[in-house]
Amino acid sequence: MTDTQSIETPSLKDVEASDISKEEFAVAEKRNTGDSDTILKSPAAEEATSDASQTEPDSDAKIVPVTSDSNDPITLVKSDSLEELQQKSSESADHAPQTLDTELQNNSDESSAHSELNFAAYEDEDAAEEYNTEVTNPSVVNAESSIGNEVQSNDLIHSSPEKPNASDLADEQGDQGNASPPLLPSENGTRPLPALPPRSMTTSSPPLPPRGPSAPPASTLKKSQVHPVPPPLTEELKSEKFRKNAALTHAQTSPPSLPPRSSHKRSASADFDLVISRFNDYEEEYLSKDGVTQESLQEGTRILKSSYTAVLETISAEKESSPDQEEHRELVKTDWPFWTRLVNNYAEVAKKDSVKLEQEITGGIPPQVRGIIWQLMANTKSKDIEEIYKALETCESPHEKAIQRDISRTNYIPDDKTGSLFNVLKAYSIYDDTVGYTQGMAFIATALILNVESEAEAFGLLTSIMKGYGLRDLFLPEMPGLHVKLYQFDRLLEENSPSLYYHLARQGVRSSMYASQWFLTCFAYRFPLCFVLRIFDIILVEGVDAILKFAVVLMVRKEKALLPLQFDQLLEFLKDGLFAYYLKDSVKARQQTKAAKNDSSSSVSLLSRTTIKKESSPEITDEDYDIDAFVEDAMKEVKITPITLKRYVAEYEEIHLLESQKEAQFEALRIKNKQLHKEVRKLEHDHTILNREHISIANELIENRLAMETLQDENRDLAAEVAQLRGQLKEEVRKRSLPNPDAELPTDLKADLQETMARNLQVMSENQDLQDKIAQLEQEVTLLRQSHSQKRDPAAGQRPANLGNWKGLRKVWK
Amino acid sequence: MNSEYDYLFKLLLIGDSGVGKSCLLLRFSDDTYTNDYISTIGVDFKIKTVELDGKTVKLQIWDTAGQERFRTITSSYYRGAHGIIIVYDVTDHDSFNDVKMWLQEIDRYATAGVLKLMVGNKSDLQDKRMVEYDVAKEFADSLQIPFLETSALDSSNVEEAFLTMAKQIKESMAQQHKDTGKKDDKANVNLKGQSLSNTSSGCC
Repeated sequence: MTDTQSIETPSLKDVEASDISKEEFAVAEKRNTGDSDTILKSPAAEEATSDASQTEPDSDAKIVPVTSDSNDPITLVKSDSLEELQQKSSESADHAPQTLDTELQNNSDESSAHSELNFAAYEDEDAAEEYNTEVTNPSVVNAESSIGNEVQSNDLIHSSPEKPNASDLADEQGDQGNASPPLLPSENGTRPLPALPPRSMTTSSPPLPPRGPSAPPASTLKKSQVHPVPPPLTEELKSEKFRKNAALTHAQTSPPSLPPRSSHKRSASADFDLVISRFNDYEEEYLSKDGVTQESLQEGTRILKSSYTAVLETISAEKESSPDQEEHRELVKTDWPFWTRLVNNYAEVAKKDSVKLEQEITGGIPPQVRGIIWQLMANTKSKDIEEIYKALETCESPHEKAIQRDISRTNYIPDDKTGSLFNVLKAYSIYDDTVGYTQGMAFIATALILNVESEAEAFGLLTSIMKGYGLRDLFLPEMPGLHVKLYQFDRLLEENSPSLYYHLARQGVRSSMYASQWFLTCFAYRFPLCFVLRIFDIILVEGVDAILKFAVVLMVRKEKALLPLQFDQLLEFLKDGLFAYYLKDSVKARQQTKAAKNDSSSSVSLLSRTTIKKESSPEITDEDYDIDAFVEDAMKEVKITPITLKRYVAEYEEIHLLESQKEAQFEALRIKNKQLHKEVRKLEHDHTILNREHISIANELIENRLAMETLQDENRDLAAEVAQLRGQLKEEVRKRSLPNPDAELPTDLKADLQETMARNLQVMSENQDLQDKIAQLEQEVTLLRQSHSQKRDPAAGQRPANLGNWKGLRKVWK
Repeated sequence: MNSEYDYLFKLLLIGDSGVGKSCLLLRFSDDTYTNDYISTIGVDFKIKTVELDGKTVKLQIWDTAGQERFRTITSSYYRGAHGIIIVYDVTDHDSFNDVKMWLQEIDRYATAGVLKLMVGNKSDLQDKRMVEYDVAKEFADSLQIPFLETSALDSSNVEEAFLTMAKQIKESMAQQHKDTGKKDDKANVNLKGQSLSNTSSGCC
């Protein structure tokens, strides 16, 4: 029973607030279910219940009035949602019970014992109670929701004619719980679990939020599940009454934000709550450190506590003597006991009183102790850090030039602190050399420096925010964290204000155009310092993701102003006009704005508006109102759950992976394209060459053909000639073959010639001889004649003798 | 076409951190100067409408963070830009050396025919000058990029720089129209050439 104490406290309070009789009932209820509370700690059990609650949106609606605040508007909600419920039931009267019966049928198929129990439940309410207790035990997630459900169902049993339905619902829940196999029997389950409250135990559970509406997957799942109880949405929308109810309950029923109860009575899981999620990180981080560091941190914490006490003393002195009315009121207003409690044991407060913590932090940390509380929440003050800082202070950093250049270009840094800013940033750039220095860090460091005593403390906070809180992802060289944040922002904007989201998309305005500055500087880029510090308060409690709330609320608040704008004006407005909504209003204007707000706010936001007004009005001061409104709007209007954010991260990673794959593919294709282009050009070149070659070859071919023609002609001529010759030859042969006198021509002409020549020579020589003889003879003749003439008559006698000689000679020759 | 203007040109300012991109833009768009302008985180944006040869030209000017790692954000702004102004600081030699790197960025992210302009800012700081005009001019000429020295402080050449860019873009747009006409002619010539070779091969 002691283990469940922490859970009972808040729920008891709420129950008490709503109805005394219910309180009694609830207490009795809890006695029954008391032991079971611890069982819920099993993640499987929680899953089961969330399943159950998914199939029971009606009971969701029922939970609202009981568990929410006892404010008037809420009471209104309660009755309205009851009406709504009834109406729904009447609307779906035809099919809802039928389907329930079907489910019962199914259940009874599974277990006949259950059917019997169901039967018993109808007969006897007490028995039903018992049954509920027994059966629900293992399946219930936490005391709050289970009690809420059961109280509500009993409430209905008493007050409405829905009795059978109500018990059906309760039974159904029980059945589901029992039917889910991983659940342990209650004997095992009832073993008390030590130390941590259930909410921190359910970190690992993957389920959807029990009150579904905040998480879109829940709604998608719902759609896909067999889920007959509520009428189809379209039907609901048709109903005028429903719309009215929806308008009044706004946050409770509209998907983007959680019902208001969740801001007071949160679903106990790190998956659904930023504070708890952040606190888990805080614990993990602390536990991961070695003993020496832990001791050093504890020592640091002690120092912080003592300085807190000192501050507190001065404040109480001031309180007495403060001449300034305004200041005095401010001091009195502050809930000092709470802050003292927080300083004394932050872990305790964060763990057990996270609702109160969130409320107080929404109001802002008192500026006097802001630095101290920041350090406590980030758990950074320690000797170790101081030593590290001292060591780094003297080192040189490659980023010095870049840092120096930005120091004077940073908002809100007073001249006497510029040196500190430089030192802190330089030290960090050496300490975390992967990040080094990125523009934007100076803005964050400034906010820290302005609120702590020493550079070392600022450095400690900076390292914690960067590493422990994960802000450094935004400043890494490729800025992966920033892209994730921008993606989450887009999705949240789409969820919270689809019209604005699509308007921006259609105008081509991307979130990187205006929101990167917000995230990289935690809004210090263009926002007033007072805003920035309040944002830091929230970030330190809820983690860096809380920054998305502010981004979204700014957009949503200015939705109306943004929707008619075009690209250029949109960008101008997003840069300069957004925070004017909270900044401009002076005391007078504030009143007007309030009125205007009430006028302009559609019936949808009427309720939440009124709530804010009520809560904030007793506390506001003239200057702070705007900031308070801003922070409160951000905290109340925009609900962000770690699980949704994680889902977005996963989505982003998937998209990013696909994109980078696509990009790689694109790059590869581009390279390939280039190569192919080259190849094509080469081939084209080759082709031209080949073409040219082809032409020349073709020409050659033609020439050759022509030559061939000529040759053929010649050939023909020659052939004809040959034929002619052949004919001639034939003729010749024929002629030859005929008998021919000339045929026997001497073949040995040479021999003949030689013979003839030889004869000729012979003849010639004979002739010579003969001539010689003639000459001799003539000489003889002459001699003889001379002698003769001398002897006879020399003259007369000679001539007739000579003549006679010649004649005689000639005769001889012839 | 929108009746408010005849042309819409998108310009982009790039360059190292602290060279005075934002101050240049502020001088051009609002004709003011502040010494303690905060460093640009991510991207910034201004609109200025100018008259050019009797036409109304709307200049949409994007100012980017100079630090290298902001590239994951700024790189997406290169693609749509008609003109990119690369700014360096005449008193900071590193920023001039980095111009090459910025040109590579342009090659990588911008469309192929984007117009460039190199601007050496802070020309009023003569005594601290580290980059001589001639050196920069020679460098710019070798790359066939127009070059100007400006001062956002005394506003010398600031308007000229942006107007030069705008004129260039306008001219190149006109040129492109002509080019497309020419290209068609060329295509015809090519086709003819093609058909010639086709006939020659066809006769075989």
